[in-house]
Amino acid sequence: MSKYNVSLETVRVADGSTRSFIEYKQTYIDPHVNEFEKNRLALKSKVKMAFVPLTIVGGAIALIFLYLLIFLENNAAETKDDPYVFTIIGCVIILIAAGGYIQYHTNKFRLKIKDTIFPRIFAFFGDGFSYKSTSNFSARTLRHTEIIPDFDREKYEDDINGHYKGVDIEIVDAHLRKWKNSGKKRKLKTVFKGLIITFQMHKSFKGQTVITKDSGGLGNWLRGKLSKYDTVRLEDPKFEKIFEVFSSDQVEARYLLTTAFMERLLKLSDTFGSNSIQCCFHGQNLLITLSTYKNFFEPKSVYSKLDFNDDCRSIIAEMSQIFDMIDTLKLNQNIGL
Amino acid sequence: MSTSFIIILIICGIGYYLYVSLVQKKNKAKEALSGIDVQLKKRADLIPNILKIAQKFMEHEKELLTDITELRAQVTKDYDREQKAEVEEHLKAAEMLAGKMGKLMIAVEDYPDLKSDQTMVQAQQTYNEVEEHIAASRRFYNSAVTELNNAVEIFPSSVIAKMIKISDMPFYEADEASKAPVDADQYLK
Repeated sequence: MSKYNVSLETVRVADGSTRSFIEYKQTYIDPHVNEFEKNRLALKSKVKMAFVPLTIVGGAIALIFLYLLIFLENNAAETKDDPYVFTIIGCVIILIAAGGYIQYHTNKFRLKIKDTIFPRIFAFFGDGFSYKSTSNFSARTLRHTEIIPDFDREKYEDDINGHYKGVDIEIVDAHLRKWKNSGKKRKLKTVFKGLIITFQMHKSFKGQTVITKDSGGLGNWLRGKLSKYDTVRLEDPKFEKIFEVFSSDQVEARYLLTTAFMERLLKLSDTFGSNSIQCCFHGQNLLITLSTYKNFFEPKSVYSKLDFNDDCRSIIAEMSQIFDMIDTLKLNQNIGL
Repeated sequence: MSTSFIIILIICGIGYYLYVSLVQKKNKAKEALSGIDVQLKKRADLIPNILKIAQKFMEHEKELLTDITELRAQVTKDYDREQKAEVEEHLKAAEMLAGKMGKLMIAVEDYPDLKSDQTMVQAQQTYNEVEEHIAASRRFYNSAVTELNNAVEIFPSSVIAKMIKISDMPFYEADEASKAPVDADQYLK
C-alpha cells in the first residue's frame, strides 16, 4: 500500500475544481511505463556488471588489509614501501570508477524520468503548470525577507511553475552554501537546503511579516534586536513554541496568522518532511522556505518495478498542501482593502 | 563615590526604566486602539452600501436596519481616547454594531433574490474581510492592553503609574450575544 494517503479519483486542479487523475494517468503516463521499465532493466544489468569488478576489488582490498594487519603490523619500515600500498591505491581508484559508473547511469535514468514523466504529472493541474529539472531561479533578490540566509553559492533544481486560482506559484529545490573560515580551513558550508516556494498574487501586503523558527529565549531576544521589525506575540501557545513572528504591521500580522493558517503551515511542514518552515509576506508575495535534507521531486526507487504510482501520489499530496495554503489565506481574493 | 549615592543612582535608574516602559505600553495600547478605529471606519464606510442594497429587498427588517444606522452613527462619533469610560462605551457600541450586522447577514439568507444579488455578494465578501481585520486589530489591542494593565497593577511599576497618572484600559471583548451558546436545534429544524 502506498504511504501517500491521497485519492486519485478527485484531485484538485488549478481552477479549484476536481478531476480524476486515474484516466489522465492511463492516457498520458502509462503508455511510457513499458519503455521506462525496459530501460530500467537495462540499467539493472549494467549495475550488476559493475558489481562484479566491485566485489572482486573489494574482496582483494579486504584480503590485503588482513595480510598487512596480521603479518606486517610490527614492521612499519617494511610496509612503508610495500607494493601492497600501491595495490590498495589502485583498488580504491577502481572502486571509485565503478561507483561513478553506477552513479552516472542511475542519474541519467532518473533525469530521463524527471524530464519525461514529471512534466506530464504537473501538466494535469492545468493552467500553465510546468516542470523543469533545471532552474534559472536566484534567491539573491530575496535576502531582504530575513528568511534567506547569507550565501555565496547557489544551486537549484526542479523548477515548478503554475497558477492556482490566479495566484502564481514557483517552487524550486535549492542548495545555498557559504564560505566559512579562511586559509587552508576555508570551505563551503551548507546554509540552506530545501524548498523555496513563492506565491505572487494580486493582493498586496502593506507591511512585511516574517515567521521564523523559534530559537529559544536568548536566541529570540537577539533575533528581535537584529530584526528591522517588532516582535508579534501570538495567543496560540503551540505556534508560539515553534515560531517567532516579526512584523512591521502588528494588525496585518494578526490578520494573516489565524489559527487556520498556523495549522496549515504546520501541516505543510509535515507533508514535506521539513524540520523547519519559515515564511515572509512582502509586497505581493508570500515566500516560504522549507528546510530539509530530503531531495524533493526525485523518482522513487529505480531498482523496483516502475509504475510511477508513488511519484504521482507524492506530487499530488504535496501540491494539495500548497493549494490549501492559498485557500486558507485567500491569496486569490482581491477586494481592494 | 559613596555607597548611598550609588544606591540612589540605581533606584533612579530603575524608576526611569519603569517610567519609560509604562509610557511605551500606554502608547502601544493607544496605537492599537487607533488601529481598531481605522478598521471600524472601513466597516462604517461599508455599511451604507450594504443597507442601500438590503433596503430594496428587506421590507420586514426595518427595525434592524434602523438599529444599524443608529449604532453606526454612535461608533463614528468622536471620543476621548484618554478616558477609560469613553473608550469602553465606544468599543461596546462597535461590538453591538457587529452583532446587529451579523444578524443582518443571517437575515439575508431568507431573501433569495438579495442573497444572489452580485453587488450584495461582493459587499458581503468585503464585509467579511473587514470583520477579519477588526478581529486582528482587536487581538493586537487586547495584547497591548494586557501588557499595560499588568504594568499598571503590579508593584513596583504600579507606584510609578499612580505618580504619572497612567491608568488601565478596557479590553475589547466580544458582545454578550456572540458569547452565548449556540442552540443547534434552532438551525437544524
